[in-house]
This record gives sequence, structure tokens and C-alpha cells, in this order.
Amino acid sequence: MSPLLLGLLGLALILLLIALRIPIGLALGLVSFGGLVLLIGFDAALALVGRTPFEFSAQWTFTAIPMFLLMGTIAYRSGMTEALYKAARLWLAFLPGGLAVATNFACAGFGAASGSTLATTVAMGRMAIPEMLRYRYDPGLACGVCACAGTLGSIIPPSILMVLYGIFAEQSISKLFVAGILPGLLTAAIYAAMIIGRCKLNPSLAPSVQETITLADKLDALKEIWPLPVLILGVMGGIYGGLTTPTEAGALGAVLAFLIALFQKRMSIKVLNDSVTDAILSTATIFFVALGAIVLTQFMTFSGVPGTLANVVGSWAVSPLLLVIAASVIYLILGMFLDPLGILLLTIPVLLPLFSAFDLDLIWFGILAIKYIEIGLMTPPIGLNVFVVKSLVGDRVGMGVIFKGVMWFLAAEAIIMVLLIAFPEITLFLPGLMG
Amino acid sequence: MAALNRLSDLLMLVAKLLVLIMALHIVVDILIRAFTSISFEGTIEIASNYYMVAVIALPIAIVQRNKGHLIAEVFTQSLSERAKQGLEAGGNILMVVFLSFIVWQSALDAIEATAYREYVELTYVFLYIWPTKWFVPVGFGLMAVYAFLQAISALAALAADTDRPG
Repeated sequence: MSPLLLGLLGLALILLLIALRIPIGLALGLVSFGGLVLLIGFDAALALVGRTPFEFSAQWTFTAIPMFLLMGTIAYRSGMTEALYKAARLWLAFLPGGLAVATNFACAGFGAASGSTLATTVAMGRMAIPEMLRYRYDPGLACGVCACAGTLGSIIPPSILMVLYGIFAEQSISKLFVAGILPGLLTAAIYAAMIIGRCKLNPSLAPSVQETITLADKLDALKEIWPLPVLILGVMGGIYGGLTTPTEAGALGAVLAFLIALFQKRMSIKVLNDSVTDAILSTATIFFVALGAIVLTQFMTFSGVPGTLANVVGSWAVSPLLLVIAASVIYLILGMFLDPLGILLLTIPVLLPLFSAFDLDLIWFGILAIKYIEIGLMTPPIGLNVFVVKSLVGDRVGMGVIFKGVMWFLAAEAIIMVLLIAFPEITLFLPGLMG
Repeated sequence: MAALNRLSDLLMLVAKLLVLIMALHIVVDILIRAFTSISFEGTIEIASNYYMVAVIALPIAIVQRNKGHLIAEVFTQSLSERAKQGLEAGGNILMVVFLSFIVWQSALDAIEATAYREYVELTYVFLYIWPTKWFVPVGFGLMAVYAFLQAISALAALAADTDRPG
């Protein structure tokens, strides 16, 4: 069998095993190991697979992952999400669909303290959904806004997906972080416009909240959210002020979040223990998938699949735009049933060489890929984030209702993606300023 | 099983302490660099060779114990419980096979690193890294034991099901 055929069969087998609910990291790792045994012999393959866990984890850049996760878990467990939601709610309640708009922007805000979509969705959903249902909001809208705006956690920096993409694609993590800012804000703005528009046309979706809010209440609520700007300033300011590298910024953020919680008298041994446990278990889970992906990358390299694909695509002389569209289709399909991390790590070894061959900007591609992966979290039939929201609301709202609510956000995403593809400047303007 | 759980809890505790120490260590390094002219070295080497290896290898058995791996459930969610149990048993057996390779090679490497006291060289001192070479075979080994026990219990459940009349 030619190495190329072996590589392609390997990819097919990986997808098959994943479909059979084999852990994603195992499917990637074991199949790739088998492929390597056939390509380079048992001893070389064993040495490669057996040494990867140590050599791969003993990397300085990776410290950013547990550290950013810890910053997010501390921020959440010490009540920052509540303060944010409360403030957004008091200031935005006057708008049509005010609570949903508030949830949307609170997610964007928490996205700046958290690097993970799951964390953002769970943190906001727990609070915001019951509140919206209490005011008789349309359940599809209430659940949809959490499932979709939760994905801002991965677009607005810091972002675990960006750290991983940066490492695997050898791109600057600081540039990726800055590149995510405008697309993240654009997403939040278009979501908000869509919610306001819908609620204005159909006020029954979001009955107005009858309560008197004084200016004093609003200002009080603002006082409670100071930890967020402090964290953003600490982390992003640290990176762009030259005080820390993006890797170190995670540790600074985690310690800052801890000190803030201590200052607010919201830190306890239990809060700390729970935060650390969450962060560590997420790290270990992520790394097991990443280990598999490392072995896959080796397998792909030896089989020559990415190079051949690049040649084939090159010889068809397709335009870069066609390539971007083809990649979009691949992500949308994979996104329907795969987990974000699995998609990112499975596609980088195959797609990245193609994008390099066309001289396309890999920072831009990274942000597009992460956007697509996040859209995959909302699309039926799987939409992991929809399941997360469903698990928060239990039997109160049906799955079909949630997906119907999400459809409106997917329509908004179509507009956002067209804008991001048509105007790479939206993504690349800020990183361009960094020189 | 209780002893196994105590061991994995202990490894988890070590990882938790080290992740906190890592955060402090990195921040102290940032502050010293920012406010003094003292050169402070070894942070990168210690963080990568000690803290990171510990944070990944030591708690990984708990991920297996909690069945916390990332999986895609979509194609199989409508299968019967029995079929799902069969797939779980199969997955766990494959997991044991895969982990055995990792544990075997990493244990060999750890023995070798211990024999010649592997270190990385800093400007003034040697940082011994051979002890952390053991984190991988220990952590992944314990993970393999959990995967094995889970495979057995899934198979036992399948067998019990078959024995049941009608």
C-alpha cells in the first residue's frame, strides 16, 4: 500500500472510531501509531509515541493553558459572572429584548476573563436563562442567546483554542489574541442588532421588564464589575506593554483573579480547590486529545497526505477564495458532530500546508477556523453548546425549541462570516498595528 | 479499588499544589524582572520540566476514572444500552493497548534517565529532570489500570445481561 493511501485510510478509520464513541484522543493516537508502525517500523514508532507525552507536555508555551483556565474558573467561582450580568441587565433593560441583549454583552465581557466557550456558556446560562424565563421571554431566544453568545469565550481573548492553534501552526499567540478582538466585538454587535430587531418586530418574544431602575442602582452595579477591567488590563496590558509574554500572562491573570476574589472576600479554600480542580481536569482532558493530534501530525507528515493535497489543489489552480470556501464546508460538516478541539487539531496538519501554499495569512485563517469551530458548536444535529444549555434547563425547554432559537443566531453568523472573509482587514487591522 | 482511588487522589493533590506553585513562580519571576535588575533564571525550565509534566501526567488517571474523555456521541446515542456497553468495553480495551505502548517506552526512558541522572544545564546550576520522567509512566500506568478495570466491568455487565433469561 502506498503511504498516501495509508494516510487517507488512516483518516477514514479515525473518523469511524470517533463515530463509535472511542475517546477522540485515543482514536487519533492509536490509528496514527498503527500507521507509523507500517511507515517507519515498530521501534521508531514506539519511541515516537512513548516519548511524546513527556516531550510534548514539557513545553513552556503550554503553561498558558492551565493558567488561563485557572483564571477563568476563579473568576467564575468567585462570582464575577453575577456582577457582570447584573450590571449589563440594569444598563440594557430599556432595549427591546433587553435581558437577552444584556446576556449577550455579559458573555462578551466574561469572554475577556475566560478562555473557554464551555465555561462562558455554563457561567452565564445558569444565571441568565432562569431570569429570562421568569420574565416570560421566548424560551428559544433565552436559550439560544446563551448557547451562541457563549462562543464569544473562545473568540474574545484570551482563548485556549488560539493558544493551541498558535502552537500547532507556529503563529504568534499575541497576534492571534489581538486578531480576535474585532471579530469578537463584531459578533456581539450583530447578535445584539438581531435580537433588538426581532424583539422590536415581535414584542411578545420579550415582554418588557417592569421595574424602576434608578441611576444610583445602575452606578452601584457598575462598581461591582471593576474586577473585569482590572483583569483585562492586567492580562492584555501585561502582554502588549511588554511586561509579560502571552505565556506568562495566564499566570498573571490567575494570580490577579485570586487577589481580586480575596479582596472582595469571596475567596475560600473551597472556591480555590474547586477552581483548581476544574482547571486541572480540563487541562488533562485537552492534552490527551492534543497528544493524539501530535502523533497524527507525525503520521500525516510521513504519509505525505498534506503535501499531495496541496499539490492537487494547486494543480487545479483554484483561487484562494475557493480554498477558503472549501475549508468552510469542511469545518461546517465536521463541526456538526465533532468536538472543537478534535476538529482544530485534526484539520491543522491537513489544511495548514494548503493555506501556506496559497500564501494566505495564517493569523486570519486561525481566526476563521476558530469562528467555524464555534459555529459548529451551535449547528444541529449535535451542537455541543446547545446540549450544554439543554443540560442547564432540563425539561423546561425542548431541544427543538432551543435549536429554533439558535437558527436566528446562525443566520447572523452567515453575515459575520461573509464579512470576515470579504474583509480580512477586520481581523488583521489590529495585529497589523503591532508591526 | 479503594487503594487505587487513594493513589489517584494523591497524584491529583500533588498536581493541584504544583499548579498553584507554578502560577506564583511565574508571577514572582515577572515582578522581579520588572522591578529589579536581578537576573532570575530557571523559571522556564522548571515550569516546563516539572510543573507542566506533573499537571498533565498526574491527574490523567482521574480523567479516565471519571470517564471524562472527549467523545462524539451523535452516531450512537440511539443505540441500546447493551450496544453502548459493548462499544465502551471495546474502547477501553483499545485504550489499554495504546497506553501500554506509552507506559512501556516512557518507563524505559525513565530508567535510563535515572541511571545517568538526566539534567538540563542552567548558567550556574544543573537542574535534574530525571525524577519527572517517572510522572508519565506512573500517571499513564494508573490510567491504564482504570481503563482495564472499566473494560472488565463493561464486559461483566454484558455477560450478566446475556445470562438473564428471556
